[in-house]
Amino acid sequence: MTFTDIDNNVLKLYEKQVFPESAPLLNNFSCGNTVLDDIFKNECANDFSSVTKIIVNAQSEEIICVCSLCCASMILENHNKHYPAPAVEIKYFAINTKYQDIKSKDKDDGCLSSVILYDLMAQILSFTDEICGANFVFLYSTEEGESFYRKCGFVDFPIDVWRDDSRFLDGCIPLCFKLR
Amino acid sequence: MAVMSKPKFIIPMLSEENSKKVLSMPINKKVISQMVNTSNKFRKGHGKSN
Repeated sequence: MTFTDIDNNVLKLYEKQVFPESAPLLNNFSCGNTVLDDIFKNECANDFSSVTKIIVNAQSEEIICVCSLCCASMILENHNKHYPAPAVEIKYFAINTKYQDIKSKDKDDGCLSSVILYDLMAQILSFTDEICGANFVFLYSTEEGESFYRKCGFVDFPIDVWRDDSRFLDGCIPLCFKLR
Repeated sequence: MAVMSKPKFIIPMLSEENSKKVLSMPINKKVISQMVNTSNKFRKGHGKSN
């Protein structure tokens, strides 16, 4: 599976976890959504409720992707009562604007963004199969990201889900993927 | 990597109708298999390394 950048250099990647001391790495990252960019710059590294990883272009040291995961519940609502279903939340998943439309040379492999998401989902599958069970992966998608996640297999939840009322989630669409 | 083990579920207190809706959501085995294959290929190839 080969991806090349705009100068036709083969992309070699590595990943690392973001800690408070490595937060400055995120200063120049832009996914095209200013609200998310601000969160990455100011909050991600100090959010101890989730684990944030970055995927980096090993040649240029540019950050290609920021993704953040946490254990969570889908809160299902039924006659004004709430029931939790074990889940993993993809709290953030963002691709650097420069790398958003990069396609593999092999058409079957799709684009870099979907490959990175699939790789993340495979890690979640392994974790929820072997270490800590969960029935769903869910996320709150921005309007511009919605069709991407749907193409990758995420769907609307079939009944009411108690929404997170965080300010920055206004207008976001809850989507989920059933694991088992 | 073990994938797709036994069903373990869930939400007994939902109404029967809503439980059915949740339980009948499709598990997209094809996509799951693709996710795992893609990830293996991605990591094996030029892939990610620390």
